[in-house]
Amino acid sequence: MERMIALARQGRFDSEGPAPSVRPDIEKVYALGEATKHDICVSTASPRSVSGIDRIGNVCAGGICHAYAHDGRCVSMFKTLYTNACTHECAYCSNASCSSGGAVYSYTPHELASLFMDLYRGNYVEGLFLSSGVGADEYETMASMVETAEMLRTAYRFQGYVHLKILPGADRDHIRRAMSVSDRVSVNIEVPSSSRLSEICATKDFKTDILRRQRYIQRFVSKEGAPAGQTTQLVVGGAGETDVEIFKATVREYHKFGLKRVYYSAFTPVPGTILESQCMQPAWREHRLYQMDWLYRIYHYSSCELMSAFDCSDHLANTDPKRAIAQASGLSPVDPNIASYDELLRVPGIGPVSARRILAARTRGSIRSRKELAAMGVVMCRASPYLSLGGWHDSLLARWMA
Amino acid sequence: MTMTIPYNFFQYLLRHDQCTPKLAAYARVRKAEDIEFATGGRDASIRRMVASVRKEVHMLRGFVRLTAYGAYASYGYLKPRHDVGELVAELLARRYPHTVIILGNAYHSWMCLYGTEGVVQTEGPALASVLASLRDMLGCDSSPQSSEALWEVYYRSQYREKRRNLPYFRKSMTDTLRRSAHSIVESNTNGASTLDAYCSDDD
Repeated sequence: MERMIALARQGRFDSEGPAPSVRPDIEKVYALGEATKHDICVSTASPRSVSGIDRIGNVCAGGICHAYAHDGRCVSMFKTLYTNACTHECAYCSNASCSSGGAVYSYTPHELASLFMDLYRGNYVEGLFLSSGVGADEYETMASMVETAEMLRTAYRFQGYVHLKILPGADRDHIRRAMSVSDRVSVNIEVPSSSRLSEICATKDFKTDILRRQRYIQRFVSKEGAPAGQTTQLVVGGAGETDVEIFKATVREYHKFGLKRVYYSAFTPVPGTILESQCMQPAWREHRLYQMDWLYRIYHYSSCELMSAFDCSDHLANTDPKRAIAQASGLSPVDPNIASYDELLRVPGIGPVSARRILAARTRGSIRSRKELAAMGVVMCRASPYLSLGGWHDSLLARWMA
Repeated sequence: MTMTIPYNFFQYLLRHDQCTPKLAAYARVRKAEDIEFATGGRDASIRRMVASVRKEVHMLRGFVRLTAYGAYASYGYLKPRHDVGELVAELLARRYPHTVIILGNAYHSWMCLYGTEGVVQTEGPALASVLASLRDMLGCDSSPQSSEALWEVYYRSQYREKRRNLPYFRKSMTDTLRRSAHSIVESNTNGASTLDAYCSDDD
C-alpha cells in the first residue's frame, strides 16, 4: 500500500478546482433537486470514449444506476435546477410565475460544480443533469448553465456524463457551446402540439421556442455535437391529450429531429399550481407508452402496425401492447424452426436476445420442445399461444385467453 | 451477432460462489458461443452463473460509496456474494485516476490504483486494519470526508410520495445488494421523507 500511495502522490494532478467558498445550503439542494423529480432521464449511457490518466470520471456505454428511490425509479444523476425562478406560466409547474410557490433559490456555477464533484467523488452519482427555470431571462440563465458545465470540464477535469437542458428560446450560440461540453442535450416539448401547449402555457411558443431549438440541435449533432444526441420529455395527460396524440408526436420527434429517446412523465398535480385539482394520471399509462416506444425503436414495428394497439377512444388499454397487437392482427402460430428474425420478434414473449438465440440454435439442430425455448429466454406463458412446434399449437381459445 | 456472454466468461464463472472445480474444468473447454446459445443442461446453467456475477459487478460499482481519506485514497464498504471485489475496485480506480481505492469488510479488502504505471492491485486484511495503516502513513493531516449527509438530502428530494412502490424498489435494489454495499440511506424506507422531518430528526 505504501507503494500505491507513493505512486498516487507522484502522478497526482490538480482536479480539485477552485476551493469551495461556502458550505452547501441543504435547503437549496433539496428545493432545487425536488423541482426536478418529475424530469425523467435515467440513461447515462454515452458512446464517447474516455482515456488517459489526467482526468477524473468516465462514461459507460451501458449506463450505471447508483441507487433506486422508494418509488422504484433509478437515481443515477445529480438532477437539479440551476434556479427555480421562472417567468413562464406553465399551469402544471410549481416554479411558474403564476404558482404560489415557495422560496426562490439559485446556484452559482462555482457552487454547483463544487457540490456535484463532492457527490461524484463519493460515487453517489454518475453524472450531472442540469435543468432550470428561465430566471430573469433565458439568455443569462443558459449562459450560467453552460459556464457550470465548462467549469467541470476544464477546472475540475471532469470527463463523466453531463446532460444539459436547453431552455425554451435559448440563444443559438449557447446551444452550440452547451453541446460542445455535454453528452446529451434536451428540450422538453411537454405536450404533443401547439394547440395543447396553448392550453397549459400562454408564454411559450411551440414552434419558435421549442421546435426551432430542436432543429438547431439536430443540425449541430450532425456536424459535431453531443455524442449521446438529444432527447425530450412529454407530460402524459396534463393537457388532456390522448395516447394517440402522444405517440404521433413521438414518431414525429424521432423522424424529424433524430432524437435518441423520448421520455414520458405521467401528470402528477402539484399543490399551488393551476392544475392542482386535476386528476393524477396512472403510472401504467406512462409504462404502456414506454412499451410502445420500445416496440417502435427496438422491435422496428411500423407506426401503422402500432396503431392497432389503441382503442376507439385513442387510448392504450392497461395490457401489454405487443400482445394486443398480436391479437388484433390475428397473428397465426409461427414455427420457431423456420420463422425469420422479424417474425419471431412479433411473438409476445420473444425479444431480440431470445430471437437471436433461436436463430443460432437452429443452425445446430431443430428445436423440439418448449423447454428448450424457455432455456433460451423465451417467456413461454406469453409466447406459447403463438408458437407451433412439430405442427402442434395451442387452440384458438387458449390464444384468446392468454 | 451481439452476444450477452463475453469471450472471457470463464474468468467470471470462476468468481461465482457456487463454481465447483468440476464445473470449472468443464467450462474451460467450452466456447462463448456454446454458452450463449445453449438450450439447456450445464451450458445454460453456466450462462446464468456468468450473468449473475456480471450483474453483481455492474450493480455494486454503482452502489458502493466512497469516503475520501486525504488527497490520495478513498475507501468504501464492500462485501460481495461472489468474489468480485477486485473487479469492482478496478472499475472505480479507472474512474478516479491517481487515487488508491480501498474496498473491504471485516474480513477482507481490495486495493487498486490506476496511474502512470497502469493498474496496480493488491488484496489485504480487514478494512479497519488497512485504514489504520493508512492513517499511520498519511499522518494526522488527513481525515475521512464523506458526502453522505449531502447525498441523503438529495436522495430524499427525488422521492415521489404518490408513486411509492417499495416492491419495485426492493426488486431493483435487493436486500442482498444493499447489505453488500452497506447502503444505509437507501435502506431507510420508513425514515424522514421531507426536509423538515429530516432536519427535526437531526435535532
